[in-house]
Amino acid sequence: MAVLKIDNVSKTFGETRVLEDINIAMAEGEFLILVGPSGCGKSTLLNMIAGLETISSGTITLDDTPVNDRSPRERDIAMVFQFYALYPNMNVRKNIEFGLKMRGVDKGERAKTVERVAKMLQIENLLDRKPAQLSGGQRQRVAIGRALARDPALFLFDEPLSNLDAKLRVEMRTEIKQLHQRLKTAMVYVTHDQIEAMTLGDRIAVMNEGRVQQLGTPHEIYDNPANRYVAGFIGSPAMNFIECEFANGSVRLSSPEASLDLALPEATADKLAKHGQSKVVMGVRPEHLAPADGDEANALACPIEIVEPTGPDTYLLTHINDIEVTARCTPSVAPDVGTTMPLTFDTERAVFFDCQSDERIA
Amino acid sequence: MAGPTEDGIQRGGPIARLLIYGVLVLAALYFLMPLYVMLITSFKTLPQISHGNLFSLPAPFSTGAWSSAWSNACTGSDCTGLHRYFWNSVAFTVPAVAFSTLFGAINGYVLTKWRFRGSELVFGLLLGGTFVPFQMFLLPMARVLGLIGLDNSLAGLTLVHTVYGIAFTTLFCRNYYVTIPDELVKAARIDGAGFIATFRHVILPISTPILMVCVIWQFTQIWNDFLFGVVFTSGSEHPITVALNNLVNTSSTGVKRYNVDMAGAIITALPTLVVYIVAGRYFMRGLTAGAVKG
Repeated sequence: MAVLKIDNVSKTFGETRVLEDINIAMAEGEFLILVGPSGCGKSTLLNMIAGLETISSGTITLDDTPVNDRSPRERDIAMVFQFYALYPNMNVRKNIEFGLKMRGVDKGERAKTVERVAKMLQIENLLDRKPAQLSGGQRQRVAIGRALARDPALFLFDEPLSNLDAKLRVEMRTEIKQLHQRLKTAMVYVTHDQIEAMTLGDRIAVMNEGRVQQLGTPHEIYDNPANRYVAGFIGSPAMNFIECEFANGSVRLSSPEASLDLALPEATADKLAKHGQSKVVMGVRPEHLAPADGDEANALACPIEIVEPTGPDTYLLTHINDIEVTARCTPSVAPDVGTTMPLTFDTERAVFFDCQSDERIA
Repeated sequence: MAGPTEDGIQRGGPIARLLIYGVLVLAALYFLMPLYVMLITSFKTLPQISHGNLFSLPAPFSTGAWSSAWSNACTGSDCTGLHRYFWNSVAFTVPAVAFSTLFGAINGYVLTKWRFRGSELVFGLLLGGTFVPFQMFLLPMARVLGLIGLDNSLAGLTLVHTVYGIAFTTLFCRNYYVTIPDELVKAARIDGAGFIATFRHVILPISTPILMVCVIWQFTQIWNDFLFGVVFTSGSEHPITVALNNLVNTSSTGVKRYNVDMAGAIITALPTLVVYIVAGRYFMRGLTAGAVKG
């Protein structure tokens, strides 16, 4: 049974199409991430699921019931907002129980719910405070508590952590993940942060320009991006995109100091040959572009222009085919700036895109 | 010598300070002077006024002028003082302030949180309403009041002031509510609150500063209004401003009773002063709230 089904949903504001033909089905207990840059329509989609935004065409189904014409009140959902949206005039207790009060739940029941939620989120000592007296992290915790109180079939999160400082964001991220594992209730989570997307999601829908570019598990998205957009959006530092000529089962790569005909695995070469265009874009993640161990045959000597230590890894910047590329290595083998270093390509993990359409070829 | 203080604000030396305070005190005295003259005159007897100095303190101290202004001074042919007209003014000012403030708040709420096609146009038209001079209102309003049978009544005057005030209160409230995040209303809707419940439980409780602005503004406008009062009511229905005018311009004995005039003027001005003192601290807060966040 699908908790949430989005069928051919589109949204237009006047002449502008902000969402086009969205299709997503969510299994019970799933944690689904909607990720994309600002303006990609992810928040609009979430608001449509919540009932805060009308649906221009298509159907949204919650628990096998179409809800297009239902108000938020009539949908079994709860939502957490980016700016917390706590009612400033009410204390924490009243904030948490407001939704129950509006639905006519009696006082005793409400008190029990508040107690349960407060305990779960460890905010029992804050119940009598006003939102203004809380820190950012506490506010977001209360906002989550308000959503929990309803015990809905589906939780919606609209960039809940983007207002917190970096350290707190990581902590809360873990807490939300733990919360999901305990509750086992389905969650839709909107973010523009690809790390949040990767760490939290069972599945990720990468969105851009009003379309779902790819829907899959974090691993599928990372290892098998459907197009250049997805490949570039997920992963940090971003995947390197190297324009190159394909001929005779290999691609030609040049650094300022050397050239190499990099032989591709047979399956990849077949697909590229079938595609029939010599000019392609090779996508290589920094970790698949590493200093050579010995004198491997398919290594390309590159002058290292910039060295960026980050602690666990060191990033090396150089140019291949006149494009700046990033390679990753362990700090122990990191060279000095200005030295030339042979870099090898993990051709099994490299992906290829069409030059014009940016669609995946191999 | 001037130098930066710890908080980094450039402040003048003692001489500059003295100059600033001196000017401020002079300005305060200048503006308080008429009030002072009014007050002391109202407690003097007539012979004192005609023989004494304008600024000298009352001796003997007499409250006769006040009781006369309140209960038996003549306003035209009627000699019962201002008290009846005072209560007239209370009777239409209080409901008119309440209604116009409430409608302004609801309008502001709709125009910011429940936008509809053309809501900007509606706001634009309402904004235009703040520029319509009183005088343009008179004839059409007189006709309307006649048609609905509310001419020459306090109920009619209440309606006129409510309608005229809505443009202002809507403007105030709309500009205040624009600064309240939309997420708050969304959260309330998710929580199951409808249009009215959201207004009542979420919006109204955080509207105190702007409601105070509306109340002060409207109370001052409506209580002090003379034109609508003189046009749309007559005789015993007059508001206190019209009655005060009649009191000042009626001299049954041929002698100008300045002390009674002054007492009457103070009685007329007192309610707005009280409202400002009670609600005033919210006034500046409300006026600047939007400006800071906006």
